[in-house]
Amino acid sequence: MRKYVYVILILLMSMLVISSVIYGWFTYVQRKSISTFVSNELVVEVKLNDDDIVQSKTLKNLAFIDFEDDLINDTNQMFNEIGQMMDMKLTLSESSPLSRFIFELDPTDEPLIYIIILDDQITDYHLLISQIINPTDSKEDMLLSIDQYNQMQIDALSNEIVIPGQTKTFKIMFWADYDQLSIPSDYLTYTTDVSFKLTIINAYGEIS
Amino acid sequence: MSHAKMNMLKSIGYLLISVFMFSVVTYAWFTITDTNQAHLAVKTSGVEAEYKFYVYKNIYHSGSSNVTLIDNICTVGLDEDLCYEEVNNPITPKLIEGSVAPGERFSFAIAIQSLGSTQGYVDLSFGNLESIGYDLEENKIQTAFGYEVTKISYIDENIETNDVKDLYLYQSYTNFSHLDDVIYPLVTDVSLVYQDQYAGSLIIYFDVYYDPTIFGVDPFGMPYTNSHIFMNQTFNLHDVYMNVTTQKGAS
Repeated sequence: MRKYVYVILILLMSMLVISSVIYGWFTYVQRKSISTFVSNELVVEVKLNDDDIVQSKTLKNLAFIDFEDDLINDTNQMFNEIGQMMDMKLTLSESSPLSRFIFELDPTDEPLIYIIILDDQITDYHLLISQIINPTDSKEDMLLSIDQYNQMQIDALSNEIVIPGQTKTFKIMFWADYDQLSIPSDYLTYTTDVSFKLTIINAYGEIS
Repeated sequence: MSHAKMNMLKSIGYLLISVFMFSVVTYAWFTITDTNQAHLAVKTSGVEAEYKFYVYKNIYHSGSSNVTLIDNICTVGLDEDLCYEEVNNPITPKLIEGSVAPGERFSFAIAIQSLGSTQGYVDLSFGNLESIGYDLEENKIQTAFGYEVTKISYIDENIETNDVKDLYLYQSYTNFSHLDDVIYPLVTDVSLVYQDQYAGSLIIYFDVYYDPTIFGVDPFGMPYTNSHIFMNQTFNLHDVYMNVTTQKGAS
């Protein structure tokens, strides 16, 4: 009789063990994560001509050009070489969310002519400008065409979503228009400040 | 043999039969859960089914604009984008890579295939939410997230039906609350079998969305005007509960 009691006890214990295993499985399944969302802050490194960015840049020793001879016709074949370049480099950190860079240039002095270039393959600035302007237009209309082109580049930059770890570069080429100087002899000492504003927001955010 | 011994032998026999039946039930459960490759807490009742869980890959975190699994599943081993990736490893704790920000959307899909001919009804819900790094209860990052069912369809032999979610009770867009122990229903009593096509799969598509219009409050209860309070927080959406029953409203 005692043997049977032992057998029953062993069977009951084995059932208890199986129950524990099944309970453990249920507990394991219910602890699973479906997803984790991490919200980090925006961190961007901004370099201007390989230096840390400042809010404005003083342009000295600008090349003064003749609008017709240099900008339209490039008679001396020097237009590309004499421009002064501002090279902007923006790097979004790996931990940041998807972002957008909103760049603004404040209104500048009258003599200043500039063009914003997002494609770093473009090095023939005269060719680029000749594709933007219509040489039969008035000077005002040609300058307006350049402004519109610049605004298109700023809009394109602002609308582009930057992925964490990605670096965006663009450059701005500057010349000065001799005819726009109020005192022509000032061209030797002419300096001007270019101020700009860079706003970095998350990809689908709006500036509040 | 005495009467007592006979009864004892019968008892042992019954115990052995019950152990055997218990083993069969356990084996069946493992058969079902072994093919369940989703991060799901599953409760089944009389219906056998297989489950697959998908997360939509989109580096721009804008959700899926092509809400279908037909020709839209990522190839295993390739680093593809804009496709549904089957989540094979149930111990992976995190599906969303990188940091998230307001306005971003994430798409998921759960495919449920009935293994038998028994009609089943599926309930799906979220639960066990957790926010980490908040200052006030009202400023938990989970309150800035919402979810919605985007489509319910059936797939049979690589043909997918139209969206039939209007036939069922489903959740349109709603935000999570700051309470952690609330159950958030996704769908209720969705037929597992569609028009007697027992071989087909039921697909439930849903999105989780970081709502850019939720801002939180300051210590005096005054609302903020941007989402900055949610920065540097983590939101864990721990569980999706699936309940398959043979009768509507049985869960």
